Amino acid sequence: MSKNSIEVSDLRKTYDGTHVVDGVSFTVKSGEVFGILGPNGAGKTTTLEMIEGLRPIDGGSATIEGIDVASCPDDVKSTIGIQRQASDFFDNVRLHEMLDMFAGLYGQSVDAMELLAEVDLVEKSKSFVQQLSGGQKQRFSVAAALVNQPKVLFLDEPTTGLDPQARRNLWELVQSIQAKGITVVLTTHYMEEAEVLCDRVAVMDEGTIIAVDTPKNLISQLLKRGFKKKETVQQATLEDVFIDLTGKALRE
Amino acid sequence: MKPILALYKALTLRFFRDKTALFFTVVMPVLFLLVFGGIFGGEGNFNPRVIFVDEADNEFSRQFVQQATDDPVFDVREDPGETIRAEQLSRAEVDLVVVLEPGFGDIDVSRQAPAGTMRAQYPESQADSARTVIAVLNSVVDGINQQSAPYDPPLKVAEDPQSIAEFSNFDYTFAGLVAFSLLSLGVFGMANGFASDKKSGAIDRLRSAPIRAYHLVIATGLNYVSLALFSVAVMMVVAVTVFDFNMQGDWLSFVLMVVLGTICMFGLGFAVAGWAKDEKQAAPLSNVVAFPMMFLSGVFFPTFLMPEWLQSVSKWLPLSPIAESMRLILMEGKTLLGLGPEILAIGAWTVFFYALAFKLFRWR
Repeated sequence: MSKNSIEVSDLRKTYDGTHVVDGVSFTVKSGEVFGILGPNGAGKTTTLEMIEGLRPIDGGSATIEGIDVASCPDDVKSTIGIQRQASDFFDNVRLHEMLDMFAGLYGQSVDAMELLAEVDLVEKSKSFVQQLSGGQKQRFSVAAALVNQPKVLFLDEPTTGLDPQARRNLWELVQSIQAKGITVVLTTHYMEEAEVLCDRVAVMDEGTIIAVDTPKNLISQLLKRGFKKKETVQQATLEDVFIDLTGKALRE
Repeated sequence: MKPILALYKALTLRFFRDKTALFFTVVMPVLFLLVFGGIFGGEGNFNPRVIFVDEADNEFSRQFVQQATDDPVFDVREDPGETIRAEQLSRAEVDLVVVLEPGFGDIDVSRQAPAGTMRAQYPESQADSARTVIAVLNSVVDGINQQSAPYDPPLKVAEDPQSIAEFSNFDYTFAGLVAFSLLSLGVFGMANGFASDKKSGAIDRLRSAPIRAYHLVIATGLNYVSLALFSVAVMMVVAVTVFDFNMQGDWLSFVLMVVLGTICMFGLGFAVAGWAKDEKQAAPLSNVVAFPMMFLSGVFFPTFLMPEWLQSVSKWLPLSPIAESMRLILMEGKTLLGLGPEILAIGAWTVFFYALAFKLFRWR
């Protein structure tokens, strides 16, 4: 488990003189859930897209499962699964047909129903994507990213815009994917999500990584520096109240 | 091959579930066909609309008018009276008013034959078409003259009808509309459909898999070629059943030309939609490239009606050789082998479009 799945070294991307990604380095161990945290515009998506082989790398290097991204982007793509942030699927194509299509794009075939069962969408197999709720769509998006049995799964803000129930449901899905031994890299700007899901996180701002560690270590380092919350720590948050009142069941 | 087939299958399934796309690809061309076929259809010959005013009102004149009425050449209208008649003439609702002057048909004693004058009235602006009708009337009158007082004119024109396939105006319109539907499908279809998929991110999402632009192009192109064949087949059924369309050429050449034309027009549509980020960019650009072709490529009306300088522009447009080939196959029975220059022109445009398209292509 100590083997590195992803190695990123001094990655750079410049647009019109602006360093969008400015010397990013990190490693992701096999089988872990690795989070990239940061505010909007921090460069998270650009970093991911370079590692995924979707954007040309201006400087530095990235390897996934020992494959160099810049020189063999197609081999990398076959090894990984990608869930994109601002992307959609063809309308008027049924979910099971869409999964067949995506498998075909990798030159493979897939048991669409089995995959839909994994993301709890069997009943929707004959639906079109435009008929799904936000949470269902994200789960389908994850299913589509799993058609090629990837070793590494990239999730770009998978829970943005979802209600608390749908978000928790997706967390469980991510945990079940990790349990199968798949390495997961995700971006988020929800700190609670990172704390629940991620073995380690990288905090990113203005194109650079400021800190990489386990959530627990990052918190204790902060406390060691003498940090105190202004208000007394509550034993529950408003979100806990919301979930308690409305239940954990999915609303879709 | 598998990525292409997988995409092609999904795109095709999707098309037949999309009512808007079905309307624009299948119903619209048929509507065009019905409208333009209705306007330009019929016998296809020029049937002059003539009003006979029989001021002579004798047996000879009445018989003359009756025969002209029975003659399929003339579209003889009832005389509505002098005022309305003049109005109809000025509005070009009738082509000619023929007044049989009093005494028309009375026997000229010196020649022992009916004599007299008929006066043909027409608006000066319509002189050309009126003269055609008058020439017909002249030949009718000549015929009568010959019968009543035969003589052998030293100079004559001998009629020698050749058996040439007869075209109706509809045949001409149909060939043009087939070419137009390929333009419409390739350019407008791509500008709408593909560009909106790009905007939604559905195209970019495909790139998660190790596929290249050419996979996408071939799959989408195959999809469009199937749609074109489907759409043209429906048009053909309507043309044959409703308008008695008369196919002169061979079907294989026709189908291959539809495929070739679609590949060419799809290339243009792909260049436009592949470059555009969304429909807002694609729509105006597709209009700019398509409109000149719609009106100058001889799709809706023959190019020989245009001024010469415009004709010389027209023949360089990419749709022109496609429309011309359709016409030569459908109406003159040519095969692909006889269409060398046209195919060369289509091929050159096709190469140009795809070179441009791959250069300009953006995934998002």
